[in-house]
Amino acid sequence: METRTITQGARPVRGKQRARPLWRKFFTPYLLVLPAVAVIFGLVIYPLMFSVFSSLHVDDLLYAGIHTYIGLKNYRQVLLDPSFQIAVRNTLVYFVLATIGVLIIGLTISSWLHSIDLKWRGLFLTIVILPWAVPGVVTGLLWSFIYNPTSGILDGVLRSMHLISQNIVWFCHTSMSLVLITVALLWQIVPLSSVILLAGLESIPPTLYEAATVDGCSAVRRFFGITVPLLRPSLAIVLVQTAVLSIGIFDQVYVLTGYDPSTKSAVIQTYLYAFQNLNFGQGISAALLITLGITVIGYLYLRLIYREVAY
Amino acid sequence: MRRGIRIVLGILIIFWSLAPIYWALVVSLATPLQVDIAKPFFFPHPITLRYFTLLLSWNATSRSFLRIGLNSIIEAAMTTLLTVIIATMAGYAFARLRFRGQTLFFYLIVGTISLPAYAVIVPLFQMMSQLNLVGTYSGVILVEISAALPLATWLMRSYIASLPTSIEEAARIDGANLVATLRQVILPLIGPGMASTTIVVFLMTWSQFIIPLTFAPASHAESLTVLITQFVTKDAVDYGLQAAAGILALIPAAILVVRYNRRLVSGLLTGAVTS
Repeated sequence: METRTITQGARPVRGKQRARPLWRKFFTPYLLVLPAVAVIFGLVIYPLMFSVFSSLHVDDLLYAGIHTYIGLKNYRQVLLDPSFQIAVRNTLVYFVLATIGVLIIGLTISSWLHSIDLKWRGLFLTIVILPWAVPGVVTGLLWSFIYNPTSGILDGVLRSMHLISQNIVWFCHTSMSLVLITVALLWQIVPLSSVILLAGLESIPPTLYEAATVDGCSAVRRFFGITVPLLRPSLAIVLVQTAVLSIGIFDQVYVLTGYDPSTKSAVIQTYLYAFQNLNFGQGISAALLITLGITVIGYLYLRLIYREVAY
Repeated sequence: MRRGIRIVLGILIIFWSLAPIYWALVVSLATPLQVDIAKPFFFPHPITLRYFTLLLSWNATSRSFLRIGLNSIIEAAMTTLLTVIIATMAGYAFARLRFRGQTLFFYLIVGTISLPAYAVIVPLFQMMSQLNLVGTYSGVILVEISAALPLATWLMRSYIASLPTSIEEAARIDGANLVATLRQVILPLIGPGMASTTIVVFLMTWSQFIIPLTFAPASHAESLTVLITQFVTKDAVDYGLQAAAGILALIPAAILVVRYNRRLVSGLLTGAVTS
């Protein structure tokens, strides 16, 4: 294939293109990036700037197109709104639980994948990655069948093991609901973390472990002395992704408990502001606040954990 | 790791990954009697396909499951096609060409990778409704392209940058211009990178929920993920139907993962480095 194309390119007929004017050579790169820049500018950057502008202004009710500057009023209203505060508190719980969960389950899965024979790894990698590809709302649906109080398998299993005498309605308790929703989120986001951590583990030269073993280091010391420090870049990436995905949690909450105040996330609240209360100013301000929060956390992670590893 | 621990861990991990899907399959194949009787069960008995036939034959005033499933396929396929084309062009320019403003444009595009969709969804909704694009395929596809493009551009740039330049240089010396080089030399070489990007973008778009929920609710462009949540809230009792809908929605994704797992993993790993 490649050889054929090269000989085609070598045909003398192509020589005529050498006569092309210089401006074409100059403009080609811009033509190539133009569609991408147009899409991102038109559908991301412009709306973002418009967001910032309209969060600081209020539309005049009588005259369309006339905006009055209102400063940080929208932000203040959102921050003082009890329902936003509850949503933020819930979201922080999701974030903390998901971070702990991703670290424990992700590290377990990646170490396990790392330890098994290469021959089998492809198969098990496919099984591990599968939940990543399941749409978020379907993930919520799958777990709703597990948590279901009448026919759910969770109650079923606990009952057949005689751990409980009658079915528990899981979503009755706020703190339990937050945990259960986080589990459904973890099921979807752990696969990607495991793959990233696996790649990190594979980049650590096995000779380091051999040397440490010879020197008499225990498995625990090897883990904290070699694996954790050398895994830093991968860990940073995983933590940033977990922060983005757990602070932005929407699908699982929407399916499992809907707009229930005791479990709603900050993004659900944003959605309610904008599309139920039709208060676009507050919706935009809330969205920008969440985005700011994610950016700060991501920046801190990268500053504190991400370090180029040299060996 | 000791062999025993490894096997136990393996069973737990496979259980964790597959049990939720298995259980939904059981619920979708069980009879309503078995589901309602409130006695624990782990296998459907007897097996019934009534929910699947019900779903596939369901037809209520031009909103059928098949029709909406087709919407999702059209939207995901069009988004993927356009995104991959645009991302390949931009990726090549960023990886190989030098031009003024290159760094600025690159950060402009790739910098928005971890910008979540909801950050701009409200102003986008206002824009789209002014343009009368809410509830249309074009509206949904445009927004989905803007959500997938930063990652896709990064993937294509990384892949093209990893290729040796010697073949292109040879083609240039032989007199092929940029467009000819791109079409005849680069395209055949970047096939694997485009395949990875295609799979990642398709799966991401197939999973999209907040975008179709905002831009095409209850319209002729409604997507499968939105329809599924309506089963949950409106027909809350019919677990079998919900489960069957969920299973049907995850089948295309599962097929892609099983068939192209290597490409998917390499795409995901390249994508992960950006954050």
